[in-house]
Amino acid sequence: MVTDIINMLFNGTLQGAVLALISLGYSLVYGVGGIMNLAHGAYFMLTGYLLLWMLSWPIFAGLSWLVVIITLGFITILGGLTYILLIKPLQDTHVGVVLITFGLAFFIEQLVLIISGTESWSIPQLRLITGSIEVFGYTMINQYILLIIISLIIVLSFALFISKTKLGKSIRAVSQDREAATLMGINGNRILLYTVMISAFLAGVGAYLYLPGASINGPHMGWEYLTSSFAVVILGGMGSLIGSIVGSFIVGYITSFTSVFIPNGPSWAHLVPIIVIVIMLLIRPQGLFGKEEVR
Amino acid sequence: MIKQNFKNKVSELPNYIKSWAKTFTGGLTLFTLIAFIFLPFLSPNQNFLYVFVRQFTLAMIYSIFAASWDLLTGISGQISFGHSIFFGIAGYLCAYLISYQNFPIWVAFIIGALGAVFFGLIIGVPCLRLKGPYLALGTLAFSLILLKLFLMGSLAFIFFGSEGISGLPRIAPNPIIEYFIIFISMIAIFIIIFQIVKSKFGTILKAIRDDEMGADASGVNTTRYKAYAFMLSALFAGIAGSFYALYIGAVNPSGNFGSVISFFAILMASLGGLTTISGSALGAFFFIFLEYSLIQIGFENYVFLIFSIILIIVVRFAEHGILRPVLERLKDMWDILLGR
Repeated sequence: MVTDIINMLFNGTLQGAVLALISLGYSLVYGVGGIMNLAHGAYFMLTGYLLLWMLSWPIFAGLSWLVVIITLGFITILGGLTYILLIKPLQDTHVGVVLITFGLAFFIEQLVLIISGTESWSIPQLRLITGSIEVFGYTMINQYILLIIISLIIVLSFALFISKTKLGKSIRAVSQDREAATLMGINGNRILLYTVMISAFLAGVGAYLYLPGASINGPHMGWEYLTSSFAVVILGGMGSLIGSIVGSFIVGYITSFTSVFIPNGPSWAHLVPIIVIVIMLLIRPQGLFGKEEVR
Repeated sequence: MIKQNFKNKVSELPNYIKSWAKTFTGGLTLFTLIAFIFLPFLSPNQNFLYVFVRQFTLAMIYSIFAASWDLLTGISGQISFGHSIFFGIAGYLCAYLISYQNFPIWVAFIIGALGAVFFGLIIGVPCLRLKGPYLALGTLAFSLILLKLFLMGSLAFIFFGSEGISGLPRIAPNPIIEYFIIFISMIAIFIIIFQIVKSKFGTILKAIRDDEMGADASGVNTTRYKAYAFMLSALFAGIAGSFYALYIGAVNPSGNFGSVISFFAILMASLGGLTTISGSALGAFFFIFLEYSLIQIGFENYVFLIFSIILIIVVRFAEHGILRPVLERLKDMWDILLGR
């Protein structure tokens, strides 16, 4: 029983920490530009596969830090390119943005499917620390403990970045009132570009920290993380950063609770984010911390 | 009065059709219809009948499905990314009633379509609070729930697991009869959708799409009309789904509920052009033709990759789809031929 509770708490925190990294950027992009980027889960998935592919190249033998830097750089640039080439020209139509990012996510999924198939892969050589410790009979993988710590540090420094730096202040300004911010001399499009790049970077970091401990479960994985982060963002309120952090941990704990304590748990646990979405949409569409208006 | 009006309309019908056939769109439509009627008789070859004609039948089923998506998204502006819900529910209901309850095909077919309408209602009502991208993801979430419930091994005794139901009878044993049944249904559904779009009801839907607040202020009960739009669209998607289940002869979760199915509808309708209902038929035929030729030249693994590139290019560079530009070119040629 104690083992189960520790298991649930640890897994919940872990899921929450990963989801926080992913959904922070997702929520930020929506808050700043009103853009629903459906390719966000694909960034996460693609990062895992890029790491996998590059590690198998002989050129990068023993240079795993270089692989990580190149991958994260690539994902960030990919986010920027998504904005410049696909989202920016269609910004005025919601349907267009949703359709085109959906197309992009599908494209990335199919590309990965052709190259790597649907099998699961693992990249344990990228763990920052190896080994595990046992707490009350439950084995905790050290990589995950490190992940939780790093994720908390990233989230805190992100909050500092948003509230203290000039770029962070401009991001907040654009998200509050884009027109007024533009009149004050802030280039709204450029801020949005940076935001999408930051969000892709955060998704990449999440994948880099989480996937070496877990496994890469086929290209369909991207959609699952997309729906989870959508659940988080709906729960916390669109565009609210505190909301998405709190929401991540709530979703994480509910998921781990389901998978530990409910019969046939692991298969129901996949449904949790979606059920959270549906319930929240029915009861409180603006989310726990959201503004009243739903667009 | 109404009777008189109706009589007038009926007596004017031949003249109306005559003058309509002389216009460009009318002539083109008639020409296409005649081509479709003669198509199955082009060759008595078995291979032609069982492969080629059946591909056309499939394209028609997809046309109905894409048109139903266009009715919801293009005409009434409610983005749905979960159209596979209606498609799959109707197919499953139809398959279940035929294989396990021994219902006649047509009864099962109608109940399947009505089941989709019911789902349109229960999914439409909660989703109606949502707008734009929220709605898109909300419907996507619903379709994922259904997909996962149907895939779940522990619920296989209710939802038949990942195997689904197989061994369904064909709509008709002869592919030509099957072709004509679906052809006639497709024509009927397209005429119905066109009439809906033209009618007062369609105007209200377009008003909701263009300016919901304005429509609300003009005394339109937007919630009710959006629910109607959901149900109508679900009805046509359900008809397509039942046809599809009978056409394939089996149902399974990923084939009938997968996000891929919703992607098909989106792709076909945007290929032809949003809000042009007939564009979705063009998109569906183009889609099936391309898929078939890609498989023939041995590129079956790349089909979806190529389709997603096409979707990106069409949405990015040709917002109004390919139907209107193509039609305009044809019309110019027509005018040149007639010496106008």
